[in-house]
Formats: sequence, structure tokens, C-alpha cells
Amino acid sequence: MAERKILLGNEAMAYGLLEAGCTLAASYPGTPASEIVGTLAALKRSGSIAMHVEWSINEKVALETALANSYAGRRSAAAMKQVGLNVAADPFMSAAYTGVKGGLVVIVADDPGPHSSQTEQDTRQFAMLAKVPVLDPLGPAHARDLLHTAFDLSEDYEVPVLFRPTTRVCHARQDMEIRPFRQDQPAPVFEKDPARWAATPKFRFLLHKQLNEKLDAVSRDSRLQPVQLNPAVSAEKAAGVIVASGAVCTHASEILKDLGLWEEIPLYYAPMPFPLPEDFLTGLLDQARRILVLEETQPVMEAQFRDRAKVQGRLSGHVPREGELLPETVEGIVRTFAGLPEAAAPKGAAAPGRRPTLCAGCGHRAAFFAIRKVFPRGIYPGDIGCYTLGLNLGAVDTVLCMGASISQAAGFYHAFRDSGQNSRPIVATIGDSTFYHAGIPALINAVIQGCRFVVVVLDNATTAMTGHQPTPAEGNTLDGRSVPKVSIEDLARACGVRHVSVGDPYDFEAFTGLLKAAKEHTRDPENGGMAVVIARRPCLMDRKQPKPDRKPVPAINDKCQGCGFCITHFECPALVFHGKEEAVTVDDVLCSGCGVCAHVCPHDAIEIPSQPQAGKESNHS
Amino acid sequence: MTTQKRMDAGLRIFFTGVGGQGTLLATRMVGEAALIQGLNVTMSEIHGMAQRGGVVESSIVVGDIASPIIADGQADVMLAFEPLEAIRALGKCHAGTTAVVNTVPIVPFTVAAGQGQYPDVQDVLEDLQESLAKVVALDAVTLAREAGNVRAANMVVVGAFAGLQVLPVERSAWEESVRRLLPPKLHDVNERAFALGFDAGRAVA
Repeated sequence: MAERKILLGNEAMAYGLLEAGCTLAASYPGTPASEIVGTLAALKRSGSIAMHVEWSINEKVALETALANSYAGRRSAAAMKQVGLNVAADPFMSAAYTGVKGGLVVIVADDPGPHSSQTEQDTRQFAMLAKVPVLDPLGPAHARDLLHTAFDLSEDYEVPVLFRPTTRVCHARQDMEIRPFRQDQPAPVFEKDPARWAATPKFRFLLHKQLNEKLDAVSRDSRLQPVQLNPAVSAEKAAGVIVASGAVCTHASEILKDLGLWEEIPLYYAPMPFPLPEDFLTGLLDQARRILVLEETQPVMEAQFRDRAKVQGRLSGHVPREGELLPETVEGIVRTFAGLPEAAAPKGAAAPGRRPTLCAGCGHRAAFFAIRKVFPRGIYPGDIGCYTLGLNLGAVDTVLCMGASISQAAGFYHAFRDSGQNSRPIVATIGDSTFYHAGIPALINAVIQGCRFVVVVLDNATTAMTGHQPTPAEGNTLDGRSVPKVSIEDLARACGVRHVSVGDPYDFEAFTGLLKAAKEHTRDPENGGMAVVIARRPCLMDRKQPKPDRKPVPAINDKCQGCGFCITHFECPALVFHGKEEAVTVDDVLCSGCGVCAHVCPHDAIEIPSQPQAGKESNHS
Repeated sequence: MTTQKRMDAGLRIFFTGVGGQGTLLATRMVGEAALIQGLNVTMSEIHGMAQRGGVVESSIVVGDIASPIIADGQADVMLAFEPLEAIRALGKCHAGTTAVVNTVPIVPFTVAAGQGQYPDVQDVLEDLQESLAKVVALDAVTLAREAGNVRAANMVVVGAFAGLQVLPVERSAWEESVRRLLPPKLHDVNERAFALGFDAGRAVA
């Protein structure tokens, strides 16, 4: 019997790429897509696969790299989260026109909910905008299989194919049979064709016409027609039919069975929600009395029915216009559609909220506390990463998208300067990986527009939130070749910043000194300007980093009045609050021994004992 | 929900805990054990920001059910690694649900900031006992410490669930699952933690 393994949806997709003979995969990490290329990167590191795998600097670069590999006739993939495609929108739109040679699959993971994203945008609408086909898998095992079809489709029609899993596919796990990976790597062939690969606007018009013809043909492709999952039921005789795609379709089939409707209501699964074939749309409108469309997160299939008099979905208000379609939501919609009574509400239970926070000993917490201390009246534009959680500490006022901290800080600077208020300090915080991704153009722009504010680069030497992917500071490719390390301080200087400093936020007094000097530089009327402070402290959760020296676990002395200042302003998980007037205690399992909290207490109630304690347990199970 | 679910089709297991407790590892442990036993498994989890001290929920569906998400009122088993999270997830359970609950609280920062109160753990357990068919409450942290590492509390909870024999998985499959998912240096302590939980579960099975 073949080996069976439980694979995460993203692992299954990585295996699907390898089975289909993909020769290059490029990505920038982002939840829920990170483990697709993460799985490939681990295989690459261990020397098990030939494919070129890379963590690119950002999604635009990833897609452009994959596209050119495809121009050379080789199967290629780019993977990203949905907002990553916003960054890569420019090459994506244009690639639809140029088309491809080797199959190009762009895997873009959507996050209905949203669980870990800024938006609930539906990538399938990007497919409509760019006029490329999009596939919407049901679950992990199906996603692996459907990737094979995606590559075939891309090559047969010479068009990029969007592959759109959602969080519930990416982060589901399913047991499946392990299959061999395709070993042959075709030799690269690049046929020069400037009218196509370097098309000027006149040729672009022709390419657009060709793209429209490709799309019509794709919609009729027999491999991707909608299928009725319960074919024994007749659409003409039923009171209504359901059309679904993606993870929602899986919920819908379970719910129809649970409600005893499996033999009553035809359920169609559309593996390719765009472009839907004209025959299917008109045929269903002819036969069915009512059509319920279940899809995440926006009305893509629903909008393709030209006559929507009998179509129910997000546009008609029968399906909520926002949010994930959880099984309980789908059940309510199906019950209404089938004329069944509403289900009883679940027994709810109130409980105080719990929000995520930075880990005990995180260098970001120390940096944020120092920023609040040096710039108490500051405006704090923040950015995307673990350090977004600085908002719990009152040290992040805005979060928009990758790299926006610096450009938004510039906008605030102009707003206050134009109104004659030069005194409002502005401190942007941005992580190291985010700085490389999208911070550099914003920093150059701030310099050349004469801005004066402080940028604190929170450098933890990794891309922490998404699972510790490497940054350009690492100096190694995934297959272990040594490459130049790209230094943040050199980049900042090259962007034209004259005041660049580097410090360890654990060294609290020295670090606040750096912030004060940076503040002075932004205010110096003669030689002042932009200032960059790099807060360098490796992530404690990154096992590739050396373990830092531990200070002893802090002791709480009798000055502690339980005022809660350290809890609300520092929020270290290792400091445990027991109510007003009760002394705070230290959880010695969580405490990392960073020693920063000793600088936090306004009553000097937190002390670091001088004698180091015995080593503590380090099981991370 | 009042809907009669097809209970014969499979078993739905809901996991809830706080980021950092090892909820997802515990989930994988149960899934792997079921796979070793030859059962069909689908699972679901949420990654990302929640893992930094927020609520972490995951699910396993064993048997002939395609959707890995557990809807309200559908969990046949709840494994709660923290008592407040057990209460929060009560809506996932039904009258026949079996729950294993670690009784050691992790007080959220919102309580310190004056937003809400942490309920009395005894009241929490009584609420659970009133609503559910069976509640196994245990101090997994103390048992884990006894096993040699407080961080193995997640294994104690998994062990207690295994000891209840609700899921038809043999002891050897559970032990194989521990060995597959953890590096060798962590096998002993986690096997001890699992065994302490297993005995506690079997005692009330």
C-alpha cells in the first residue's frame, strides 16, 4: 500500500507543484499562504528537489521572476496571500496579455473572515479584472490534484492561471496518498518575439483580442465544467438548485446531507468560477426555478448570471455581504432556501476577550516602550508584522499595508508642517522584512521631499509572524550558496538618510539615548533631516538564532501596589496581574530573562537579582 | 443547533486554547494517531496573529465527513487547554459532548485593563458539567510538572482524551504519534506527560 500522510493544505499544494513538474516557485510569505513555498524551501534546503525555490523580496518580484521562467518554456509558480497580489497587480495584469509558454500558476490565498489580513478581498475578482481563469479548490487533497489541471490549462491556452484557495483549504489537513514527484526538467527555450514579450500599445490591442478569444475557449474546456455532485436529482423537478465553489461547497454538501436534502436539491460544484461557460449559465436559468449561489467572499459566479431574477446570493441579500461562510451560516441560508424552520440558536457563553500580544521577551516590546517614553506626544504610523501588536502598547496608531508606515509618516509630517505645527513628533515603526519589501521607496521619497521624522526599523533578523522566513540580511540562498548580505543601515544611508544608528532595545538606557539623538537630528535647523534607528534584537522564537544571555527572573519587591502600569503599558505575558492592590507576580516559565521590565515600573518595584538562577526548562512542545 | 447530525458518519473533536499552549501540536497529535490507526482524518486550524497569545481554535473530524470545520453545536468532543476558553467554546458543544478541560487559567490582559472579570474556575466547571454529558477536569500543569516539564501540559490533556477511549485508537498508535511529531530529545518527557493524562482519563472512562 502506498504511504499515506496527513498534509496541510499548503503542503499538499507544494507536493502538487512538484508532481506537476514545476521548475521554479517564488513567494513572499503571508498568512495563509506561507507554507506552500515554506514546504518547498525545506525540501530545497535538504537537497531533495531540483526546482529553484526562493523567498523573493516582495510579491511583484516573485511573479515577474516566475513569469520569465515560464517565457523560457518551463512550468512556474508564484504564491502569495491575497493582499500580496495587490503588490503584484502590475505584472499580473500585463502577464494576462503577454501570456505564457511553460505553465504559470499564480497561487493566491484568500482569507475570508478575515483571520489574519487587512481585507476580505476576493482574488477571483482579480481574475475577472485581468481576464484570466481562476480555479477554486474544495480542500487539501483536491487542491493538489487540481494544480495538475491548472498547469495543463495554462500551457494549452498560453495564459496564466490563478489558483485561489482560502484559509480553510490552506490550513486544513487531510490524509492522502503520497505520490512521486516529476523528475525531468525541460531545457529552457526562449524564442524572441518582441511583438508579444515587449509589446507596444498597438500590439497590446491585438494581445487583448487574443486574450478574449482564449478566455472564451477556456470557459468551454471540458476539464473544468461545473459538475452536479448529486446527479440523481433533476434540476427541472427541484424547487431550487445550489451552485457553489471552494470550501463552501464542502460545507454545503455536508449540510444538504444533514438536513435530508441531498435527494431534493441539486448541488453544482464549479472548479473554475470564472469564466463560467455560457451554456451552463443559460441552461440553469432555463431549467431551475431558483438558483442559490454560495461563494467566498464576493459575488463572482452570481454576477455572471445575466438575468438575476431567480438568482439568490450576496448581490440579492440572501447571503451576507461580508464575512466567512461558516457551516452554521450556510445552514441558515440553506434552511431559508429550502423553506425549513430556522435552527435553534447555539447556547452562547460570555467570556472576557483575549487578544494576541507580543511574546515574553520580544525586543519589539522594549523598543515600543522606549518610543513611548522618548516621544510621549508622538504620532506612531505602524506597519505589517508581529509588531503591529505595538497597538496594544499605544505605540502604533495606523496600520494600512506593507511599507505604508514610512509614507504615512511623511503624510502626517506634511499635514502638521503645512499648518505651522512643527512640534508634533512622528515615529514610524517597520520590521526588517517589511522594510526590504516596500519600505525603501518610501524612505527615499521622505528624504527627497524634505521630511523630518524618525523611522525605527524593528530588526529581529527574520520574518517572524509568518514562520521565520529568511531576510536579505541572511546571506545565503536556500540551497546554501553564500551571497552578499544586504545591510539595512547601508540601505538607509544609500537612501540619503544622514542619521543612522543601531542599538539593542534590551539595553534600554542606551537605546533611549539613540532615540533622543534621532529626535534631535529631526529638529536640527541646520543639518537635520530624516533619522533611522535600527532596533536590533533577534526573535526569541527563531530557533536559527543563538540563544541570548539570560538575566535572572525579576523579583517583585514590596513597593508593588498592584497599580497595573506594567500590565497595561508593557503587557508582558510573564507579568501576572492579580487585581488592584495585589502584588504582580512573575511567571518564571514564560519569562525569558530579558530584564527590560525593571525599567518599566514607576515605583521601582521590579528588580533584577544579581545572582543568575539555575537553568530553566526549554521544552517547546 | 437542533439539527440531527449524522453521528454515525464520524467524530468531531474541537480544540481550544491560548496561543503558546501547544494547541495545534496537540491537534496534530490526535490526527496522526487516528491516521496510524487507519482512520480517515480532516483537520482545520488558524495560523498567524492568534498564535501570539490569542485564542487558538482547531478541529479534527474523524470518519466519513468532508468538511473539517465544526459548526455550532456539533462538537462531540471538546479539548480545552484553558478554562475560560472552554466556556467561550460552549456553543460548539451539544448535550452529549465529552470535554477534557485543563483547570489552570491564563488571565487575559483585558481583565487587567478592567474590561471584564475572569470567572471563578469552579463556576466554570459547574457550568460545563450542567451543559455537557461528561467533563474531565484536570490540573494539566501540575501533572506536566510531575512529568518533567510544565510545557507538556498539552500532552496531559491529549493523554486524558486518549484514556477516555472515545476515539478507537490503540495506546501504541498514540505513542507512535508522539514519536513521529516530536524530536527525540522530547520523547521521554512528553510520553510521561501523556501517560499521566492517560491514567487520569482511564480512571473516569
